[in-house]
Amino acid sequence: MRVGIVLDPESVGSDAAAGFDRLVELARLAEQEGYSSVWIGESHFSDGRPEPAPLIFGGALAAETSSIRLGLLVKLALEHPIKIAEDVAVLDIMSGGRVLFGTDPGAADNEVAGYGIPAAEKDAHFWEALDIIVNAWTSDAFAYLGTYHTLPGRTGALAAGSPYVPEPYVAPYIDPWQRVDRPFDYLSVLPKPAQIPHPPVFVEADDAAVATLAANKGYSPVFGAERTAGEVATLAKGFWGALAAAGRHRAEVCLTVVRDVQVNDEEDAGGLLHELKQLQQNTGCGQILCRFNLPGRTPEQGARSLKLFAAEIRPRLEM
Amino acid sequence: MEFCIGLHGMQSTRACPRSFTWMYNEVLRHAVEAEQMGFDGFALTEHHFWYDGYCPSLMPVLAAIARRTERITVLPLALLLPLRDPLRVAEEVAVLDLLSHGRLALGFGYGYRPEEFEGFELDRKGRGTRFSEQIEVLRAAFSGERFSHNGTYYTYTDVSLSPGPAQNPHPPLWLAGGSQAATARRAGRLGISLCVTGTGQTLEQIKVLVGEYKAAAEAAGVPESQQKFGIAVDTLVGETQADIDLSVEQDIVPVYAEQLVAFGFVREADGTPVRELPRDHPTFQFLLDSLVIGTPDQVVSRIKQFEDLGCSVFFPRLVEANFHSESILKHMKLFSDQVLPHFGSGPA
Repeated sequence: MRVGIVLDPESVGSDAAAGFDRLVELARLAEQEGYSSVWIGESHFSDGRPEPAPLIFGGALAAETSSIRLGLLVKLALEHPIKIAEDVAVLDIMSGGRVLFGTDPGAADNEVAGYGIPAAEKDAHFWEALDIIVNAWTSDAFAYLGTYHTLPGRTGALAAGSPYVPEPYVAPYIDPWQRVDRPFDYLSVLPKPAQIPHPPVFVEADDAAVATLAANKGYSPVFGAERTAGEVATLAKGFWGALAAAGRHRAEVCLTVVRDVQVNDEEDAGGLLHELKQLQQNTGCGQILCRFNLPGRTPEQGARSLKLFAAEIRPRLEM
Repeated sequence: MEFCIGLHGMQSTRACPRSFTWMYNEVLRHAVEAEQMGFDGFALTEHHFWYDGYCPSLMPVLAAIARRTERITVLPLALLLPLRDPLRVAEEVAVLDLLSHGRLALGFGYGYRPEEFEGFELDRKGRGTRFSEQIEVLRAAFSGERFSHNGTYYTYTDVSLSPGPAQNPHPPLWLAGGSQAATARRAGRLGISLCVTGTGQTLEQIKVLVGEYKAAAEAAGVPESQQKFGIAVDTLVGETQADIDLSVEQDIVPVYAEQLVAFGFVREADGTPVRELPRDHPTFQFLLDSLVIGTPDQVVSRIKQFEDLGCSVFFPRLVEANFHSESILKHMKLFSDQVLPHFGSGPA
């Protein structure tokens, strides 16, 4: 099993520059201590969780680490999907193919409202955006006719009302010097990510419906720390069932569970190890993400937990 | 005068194809070297959907550069603001400014390629007024207050930027105005710095643009101390004339021939795009003449002309920067050793 860590921006505090430095430092420590991935999420208009740009933070992590994988948990509904596809591709290249593309349909109502998206439409926005992003990565050229997006926009064949073009659209490749001034009817999103066919996609799954949609597409679900072990087991069972029903193989995905972890001594470690082994058995998870820098704990305490976990627990979990 | 070097686009052109992984490693190395050589800043440039993979994502790369350097300013030149949601940009700016400990400057541009607007489902028409509204949103966001905005292009209700940027009130704002007088005037009206493109323009034309910028700023009541402008020019410095000639023929001409045609910059009198660009085409020659190319002495005297105009930042766009890594480092070193000292800077 793989074990990664989640950077929690709640611990950033009022001096945000110093807080961000501490998060980067924790990522470096996780790499040194042999964790397989470091994850960072996104939240908006929130003094308590001041980290709205995981793809910028990801650039810093790419430069400050060399081997640990970078889990970037993006709320797709709040940005143009093409922009996300471009940023993640560049990060994947810059990090030598280390990106795990986490996606989060759980944008808060005030976040979607802040960006002018009706709360009732946020899920539909999310799935359409994810579809566009994967298309952008895997097609030399594509066009897309969706509910919220028509790509390319104003003057292309789609916008002009020509017959529906099923995507991915296979466009004749025309050299750029031959196509000056021609109508623009497809998109070539470049550069492509380093990983083939594209960075692995993870979906934060808050409920069974999202987990099922992820299973249909062959994406890995991430179950949050706020879920009890029992709830995760139920969600996992539903996910594996949906995956089989969709005709997909278990090897296509990595079921992921986030846990808040606090280890002070060996006694803690023993109890926690037992808990996590149970979790592994009951959910079939391939990856656990630990949140060590919990609110109310000092950075030193978080780092100590991280090290103790690496020494005492992880070796007995990893198989 | 300050010197911000770079304008890397990370392009794999047909004339000089390369792997992206290698290029993105090299750009970090160039930035680190630039800092050691005494340059003041390092800039990247953006395009979208371009056949050679031209970098569409400046902010993540600048974040990486910021964490590998300690002193230099990092900046996009230009981030194509009309393609983006300004509140999103404000959020990214704040995070990057914090990660760089306040070393970010913001060079914005309008963007001009129709494909780029269509790829983001936007109208190219009206990008100037859109830009003005975006600056208004950015300033409201950077104020640190909760705000609502109900404009022509954007609507926000009761939002606030969290976190705010490291710099107070925000990183310096630039508008890369190319060669358009209307753009220069807009920068003046908005009270932000102007970056003029020297490539393809004579000194006289640059003077006119700067005049337009200052007059507009004056009329808008922008104090003279805030009327700052810079010049970006494709630049090449070589030790000997033979070195320079070789670099021009081997590095610049083939890539220019490819890119100028593909961008549709060169047109016949009736407007049809030129598809083959011979070396002796008058446009080609005019462009090459406008570049800052020469031995250190020649380059110093060209840049002194800009300084005499009142230019406060020179952006030498290393034309080979995107194409030949080792040779560009050699030329950067020459620039640092033999040009920078004439302007009171250079390696520490």
